[in-house]
Parts: sequence; structure tokens; C-alpha cells
Amino acid sequence: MSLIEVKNLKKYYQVYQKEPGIKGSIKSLFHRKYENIKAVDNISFSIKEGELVGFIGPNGAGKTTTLKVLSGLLYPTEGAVSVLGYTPFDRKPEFQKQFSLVMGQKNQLWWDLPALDSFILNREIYEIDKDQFKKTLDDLTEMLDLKDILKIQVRKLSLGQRMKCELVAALLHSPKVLFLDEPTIGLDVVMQQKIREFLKAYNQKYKATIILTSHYMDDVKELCDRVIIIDKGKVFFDGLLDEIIKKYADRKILEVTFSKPVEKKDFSIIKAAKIKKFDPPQVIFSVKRKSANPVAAKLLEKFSVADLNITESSLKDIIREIFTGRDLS
Amino acid sequence: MRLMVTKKLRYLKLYKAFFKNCLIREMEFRSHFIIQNIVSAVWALIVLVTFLFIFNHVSSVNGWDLHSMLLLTAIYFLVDRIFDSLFEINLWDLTTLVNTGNLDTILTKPVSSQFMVSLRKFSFSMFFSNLAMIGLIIYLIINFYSPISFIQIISFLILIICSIVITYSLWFISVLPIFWWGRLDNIHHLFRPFHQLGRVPIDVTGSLKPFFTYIFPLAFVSTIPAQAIIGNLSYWLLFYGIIISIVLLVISNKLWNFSLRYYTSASS
Repeated sequence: MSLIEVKNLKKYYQVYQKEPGIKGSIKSLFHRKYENIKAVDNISFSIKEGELVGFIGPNGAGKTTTLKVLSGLLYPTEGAVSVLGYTPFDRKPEFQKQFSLVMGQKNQLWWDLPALDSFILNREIYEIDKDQFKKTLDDLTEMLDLKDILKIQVRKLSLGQRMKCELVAALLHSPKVLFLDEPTIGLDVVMQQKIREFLKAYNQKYKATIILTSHYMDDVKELCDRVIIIDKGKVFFDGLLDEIIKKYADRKILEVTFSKPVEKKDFSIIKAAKIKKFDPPQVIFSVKRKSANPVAAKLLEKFSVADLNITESSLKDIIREIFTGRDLS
Repeated sequence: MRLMVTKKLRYLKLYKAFFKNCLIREMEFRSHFIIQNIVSAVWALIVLVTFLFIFNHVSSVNGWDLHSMLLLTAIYFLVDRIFDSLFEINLWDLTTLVNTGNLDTILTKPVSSQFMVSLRKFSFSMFFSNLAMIGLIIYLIINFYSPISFIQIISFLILIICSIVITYSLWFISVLPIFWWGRLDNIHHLFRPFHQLGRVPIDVTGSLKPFFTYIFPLAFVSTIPAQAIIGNLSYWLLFYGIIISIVLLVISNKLWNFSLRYYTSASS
């Protein structure tokens, strides 16, 4: 049984175009040229209980729009969506008590109050039992190391602390389904890592089903087994992370350390190898998968090599290649 | 029925929690609290004093003498200030919520979203003004309209609630176009000039009186509640007031849910 089911979902927006300047503005007062934006264009997928799925795609690909439809915020133009057996847009309280949406750029905490006051308000909103509330709150503050800041006004907290508090506010009612939209945006590397570790632990401890969107490939790589790549409103890929590498990484990386000085032009004899990084004595080449071995052989034959290492190209590079449309098999 | 009662209790409890948070917040901004209170009290006072000047020259306007005019105005300001305390700050916020997409955090909550957007915040800045208006109404009753029957008082209180509900419903509906028109910072003022009409005894509108009583019921803002105290209320209007309040409230809810279909949830 899948927990989340999306079939042929479409969400179109009408936006009007305005020519630049005052003249354009006056013109648009009387006559507006409308255009249909296909934010989500015929997307289908299903997600099982306990899965942690990553949505990736460039800005404006339709990731957030999909999450918003799943949360019942947006009314779909076409298609069927079901989450926990409910139609999200009906916004039934029984449904809303079982999921949570966290957006890195929007906050639900009261700005002028300590986070704890907002948590207590959420206890009322979600009708959480007092003992249960205390237990969950203790658990979450422990996991996120928040003890000391719960009584400080939210506006005085740092971005990272605020994000942690936002997570607590979203998790107090122990949602079965969690949608995270860019939860690590704007955070420093250390804080990103902490949030990631927390999400992983939360997913394992509470068996929550999580969908995550992120620009940071590390988020996805460390957290998700399965990814759905969305581009221009369509599903481009849906499967295991490893499969992307198999399917789209048609290049391998050769890291070579030379024992004698080399120059860039020396490598012009090996046509199949593209230099990625030239940092003597180390040179990194990007090579088509099938010519990786012949190139390695040739390098060993023509140069004096101290060390040679063949690896897969990084996920970041693969995704970048997919989205820029280069080197696609 | 039992379910409805527990549901009401839940919303009452929830409102208490909102109220508490607002009170905590308000205490952070003491000078704002004091100045707002002075401003709103002075404003009402000036309007009331102008009647003393006007009625120096005339003794009655279409049957309304100075005391009934003061009563009408005090009721208008009371309702207006209660509306401001409960709703105005929230309707002001609604524009921002829709335009920034922050309405998201409210729409995902397992509580009526109309309730949340309308009553999430409470403004304490009208507190003294409200007390002053209540004081003035009691003063006028004791000095000019006593003896007053128990039924009159009950009718008056019911009509005040109707007045608030009608004002709220019409005002709320007038704000909904933001879902289509986008950035309209002043849309929550759209209804205010109409509401101001409620400060005039509806009797003076002549042939438009049925329209303002039954269709666009501004008569219920202050004229009809005042009549309950003055003693010339036809009880049919009490009944109609309750009905039209419920009808308008239901319509506002239907329109709210309809408008949400056009919510675009700005930014990501």
C-alpha cells in the first residue's frame, strides 16, 4: 500500500507579462497578455510508508509546487492526489493532524515570543495530550540540543537555531508524513550537517515518511535512497540514487599523480581524456566510461605515474550535467 | 449536538491560547499600547462633541434628538472598536499573508482556516475606548431611557452581537479579492466608508431604507441596536437580524473556501 499517490498531476498558473518601464505598466493596466505557466505538468509517482525520498531539480522545476499540492495548499489543475488516503485539498483536520510541512523560507513561530509559547499554541491547535506533548518536546529538544534557547524570543535567535525550533514546532504532533522544502537553506555547513543527522535519526526512530527538496546535493546524498528528479514540471527520473549514477554517469574520473613534471599540452595525444583539474603533480581527467581503461593504460604507458585512481563522477556533477543537457546518453 | 458543543469549547480554548500570546506580546510594547488607546479615545470624543454643536442649532433630525444621536454614535463606536480589537488587525495581516505566501503555515493546521486568519491576533489598543463607550451607553440609559425592561436589554445585547457578526462578515468578504488582484495593501479599508454609513440613523436614507435594512443590512450596525434601547424596535427585526447574521457568516465561509482555490502560495 502506498502512502502517497500522485497520478497525472498538473498545476498551471496564469501570469501576465509586462513590458518594462512605465509605458509597459500603463499598457498592462488596460490590456494584459496572459500566459500559462506549467509549474507541474503531468507528474505521477507513489511513495511507500517510511520512505525518505528526495526531490531534486533546478529552480522553478515544480518541486515546491508538488509539495504544496500534497499539503493541500494548492488546488490541482488536473489529476488525482492522495496522501494517507485523503485528498489534501479537502483539508480535513484528521488529515492535517498527521502531516507537517516545513519550509526553509517561511516560519510559523511567533516572532516576538519565545519558541516555547508557539509550541504551547501548537499543542492546543493539534490537541496534543499534555504528557505526550512533554515527552515529544523533551525528546526533540534533546535530539536537537535546544534546551537553553526555548525561552528566548524567536527574533533574537540565529537562523540555525530558528530552523531547529521550526522543526520542533512541525514535529510536536508526531506527523506520519513530513514534507520538507529546503530545510537547510541559508545555513552554514555545520548546521546543515546537524539538521541532516537529525532528520535521518527522526526518520529511523519514528518511521515517518519524508519527502525532502533541496538544492544541496549533500542533503539528498546523505539522506535519501530514492530520488525523484523533476525538471520543467515533469518527472525526469524516479529511482534509487545508485541508479542515477549507473544510468547517467557515462563518465569516470581519473585521478593521476605523476612522478615527473608534466604540462597540459603533453596530454593532447590522449584525445578521449578531458582535463578537469590541472594541479601538478596531480591531474584529474574526465573520461567516457568505456574508454576509462584504455586511457588509463595509455597514461601508464606514456608517462611515469606515481598513483592512479579511477572513480565514479560525483552526484553533483551528474546532476549538473543532466540539467545543463550536456553529455546525456 | 454534543459534538458541536465540544467543538465550540475547543475553539474557545484555542482563542484563549491566541489571546494569551497576544497579551504577552503586547506587554513588550508598552508605549504603543498607551498611545493607541489615547488616540482611539480622543477620536470618539471629538465625534461625540460635534453633536453637541450641531444640536445647538437643531432639536431633532428626522425624529432623532441629541440623546438618541449620542446613543447611536456610542453604539457605533463600541461595535467599531470591538471589531478593531478582534478582527481589524487580522484582516490587515491577511493581505500580507496572501502576498508573501505565509498563509501556508495557517492552511496546513487542523483548525478552521477562516477562524485562524480572522481571530489569530487580538489588539489591545482599543481597550479604554471600549470602556468609555460602554460607560457612555450606561450613562445615557440611566439618565434618559430608564426604566428599561429586561427584554430590551437582552434584545440590545443580541443585536450588538448581530452587529459585530454582520460587520465582520461583510468586511471579510470585501477583503477576499486579494486572491485575484494580488497586492492591495489598503483593501481592508474598502469596507470602512460603507461601515461609516452605519453611524447615520438609517431612517434618514428615505426610500433606500429597506435596502439598508434587508439587503445590505447596515441598519443593524447601530440604528437597530439603538432602537432596542430607545424602545421603538419592531421585534421582527430582532428575528431578522439573527437570521441575516447567520446567513452572511455562512456566505463569508463559502466565499473563503472558494477563494482558496485561487491561492497561489507565493515564493518557494
